[in-house]
Amino acid sequence: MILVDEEIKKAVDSGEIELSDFSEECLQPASYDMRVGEEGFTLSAGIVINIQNEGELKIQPGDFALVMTHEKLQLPANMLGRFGLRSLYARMGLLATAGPQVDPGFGGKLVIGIVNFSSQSIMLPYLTPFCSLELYRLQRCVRVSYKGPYQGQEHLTDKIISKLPREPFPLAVMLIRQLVASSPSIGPEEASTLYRRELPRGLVTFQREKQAFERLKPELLKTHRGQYVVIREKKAVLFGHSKTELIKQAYSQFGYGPLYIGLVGQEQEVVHIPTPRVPRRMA
Amino acid sequence: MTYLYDNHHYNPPAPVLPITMHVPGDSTKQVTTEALVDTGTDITCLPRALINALSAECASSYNVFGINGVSIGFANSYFLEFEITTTKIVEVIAVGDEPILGRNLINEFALQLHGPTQKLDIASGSE
Repeated sequence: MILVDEEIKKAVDSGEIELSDFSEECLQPASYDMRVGEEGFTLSAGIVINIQNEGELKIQPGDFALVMTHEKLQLPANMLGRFGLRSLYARMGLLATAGPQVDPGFGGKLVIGIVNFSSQSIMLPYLTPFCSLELYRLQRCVRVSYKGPYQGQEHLTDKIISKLPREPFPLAVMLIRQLVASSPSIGPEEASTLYRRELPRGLVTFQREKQAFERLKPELLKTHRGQYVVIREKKAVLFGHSKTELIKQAYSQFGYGPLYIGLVGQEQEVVHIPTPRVPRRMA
Repeated sequence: MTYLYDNHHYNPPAPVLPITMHVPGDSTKQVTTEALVDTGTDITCLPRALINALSAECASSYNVFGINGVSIGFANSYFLEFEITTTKIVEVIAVGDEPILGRNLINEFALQLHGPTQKLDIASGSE
């Protein structure tokens, strides 16, 4: 049985389904619209992109992207989910390629693979509803709930990224190039820029240094736990106990530019901004 | 130095400080604005447009939590040089649409709030 709007809301309100940051605006007649989350990845960029910081994820023609949902989902043992792109994006030429079923017992954020089959770049702004999740109530609880490798996923980890191909899909690239070549609206100059890496160079370097930090962390934990480390050109180059003093030293030694400074610890550094915001009045 | 609370943008009036900032070691591009003094916030927050205007480079990242401990996602951080009464290098994140001075910056200075007169005093130099 597919849950309808009232049943979805009731299941969330009662805690039967856990759906973080639930919004009635995302409720559809018989589905729930999941929103673009904090992290995405495109083969053309080759790095995990912080969509919250960038404001949007840009998927170039022929490119393959992974998009993580904003919402974190926890299904009970007697429910499964199926998801697909919202028709708006399907009509624009995006095709969702992976993970149509969310197993009973799954908990975590959904990761959706998308190919852009159009001849234009398509933007997915942060927190935009982009895929619909249908929820099915089963006749009974499953014997064994989902316990797979993606249980609890909240980030696009190296483990997920490393399984992807290195380049955009060849067939999609060929088709798009043919389309572009025959399209009067796109000139040869624009066609030659397909798959160009368009992130600012500094941000790409920063993301690579950050990924190097994650790779180096297991070894660093053995020798520099609790200290800050500066990663530059994928190597740990400076260590210290004060983040600000360390960054001063790094900029003094290497000049101002992209690098990564991280705390050698098990957890991501956390900050709290607890003050409730009241919109500022216009002067 | 003494600054009046901002009663145009905030109700009740709130303490704000004029700040000038640029990337460390290079004041070619600098921005001056007023920022809310918020002792409840861990880290200084600036609108993304302001950080972009300074051509600041990312240096670190944080998991950011808002009211009631709800995660509001990841944010990259930047180090900027602030000129208030003296110069300090302070870490900031690009969050929200108003400049907010968090405790990582406030704790570098001696501030005194006087609510009835709606005045904020800041000692010259850092303590």
